Amino acid sequence: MNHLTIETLNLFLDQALDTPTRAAAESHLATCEVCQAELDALRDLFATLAALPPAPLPADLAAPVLQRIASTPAPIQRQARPAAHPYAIAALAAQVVLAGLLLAWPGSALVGVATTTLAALPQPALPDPSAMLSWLDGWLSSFVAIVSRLAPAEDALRASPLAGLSPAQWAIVLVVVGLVWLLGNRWIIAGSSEPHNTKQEAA
Amino acid sequence: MESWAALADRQLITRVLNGQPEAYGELVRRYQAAVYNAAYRLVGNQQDALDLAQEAFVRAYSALGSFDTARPFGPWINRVAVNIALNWLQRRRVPTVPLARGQASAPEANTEWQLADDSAEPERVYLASEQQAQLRMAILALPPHYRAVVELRHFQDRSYEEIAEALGISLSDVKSHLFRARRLLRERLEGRP
Repeated sequence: MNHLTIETLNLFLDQALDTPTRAAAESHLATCEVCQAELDALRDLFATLAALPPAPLPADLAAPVLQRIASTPAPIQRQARPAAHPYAIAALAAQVVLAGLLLAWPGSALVGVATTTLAALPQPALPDPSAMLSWLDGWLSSFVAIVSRLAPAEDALRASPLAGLSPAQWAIVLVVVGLVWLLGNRWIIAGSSEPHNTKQEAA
Repeated sequence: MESWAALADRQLITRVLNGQPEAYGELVRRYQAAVYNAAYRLVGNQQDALDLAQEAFVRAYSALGSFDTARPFGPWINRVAVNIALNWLQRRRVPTVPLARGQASAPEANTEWQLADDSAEPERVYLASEQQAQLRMAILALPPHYRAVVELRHFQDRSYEEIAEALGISLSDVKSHLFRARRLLRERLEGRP
């Protein structure tokens, strides 16, 4: 007969076995005197530990503790860090996306280069070259139309007081502004008071 | 003068953080016996236990600013005491006390055993005291980390997870230390080598 392990017996008494395992252990204990004896011995130890009375306090600690803390800086309650506001997260995400678009902005000067380059790409051998050419021509036309519609936005940017900035520089400005805003609202460096701070032990 | 005894722990902590350190004295009075006993079971010496308990309260005072008042103060201060005592034992590299009859005068076991029941018959009182003495000696014979897990599990009723968090060890280490400690305690109490 296989006996229950010492670990299982300990977990059994600590109420740390899952339901099926506990049921199996109980079933085994009902028919195994060896394991039952071992469990009883372990249970006796638990009872002995539980029966140990506390020792009487030899001296009062309040006075010496108060005397020591009199020369200790008073504890300061740390401000709870506010949870990141959803709008702040959305604003930051929008800034990142916009910065990415600006970095990748082809610019009106590059549209022509892109169109010419695409048109000059060697065409792969296909069963129906004429259909592919028609599809490619249509795609290029759509691309140019989309970029052309966005051109006024680019012109507006270039007409701003910071007209000298390139799209990449605009992206950097936006990211810096966003970080300054977040820092100013203490969403990054504010202290926290977590509900379950594992570092609370003084030692 | 405000009656500190009428205030809850959370209210006392708030008074302390608002500049009334004397309110901390009430917290000390409420938990000093438990904190002292936690240290005493780990170090086995009254004066050392008093010093460590005092140190636990002083350090806890400094950390009150970050204490979550939604949690009970008692378990927290007891855990602080266990960690301070454990660090003290490890710094001193205190060897485990070999358990043998006649070892009551060993330095680490310089204790004064209290009678369990003054009204009981003398022989019963002696037997109860002797058993308690043997148990205390058996605990002191454990390695420091084993003593700490026994203290947190059997005297502070902490779960495995809470013990792991308190001592900064893994869950498997908690079980390993605890189960082995229990086996060692049984062997010592049963007189097995």
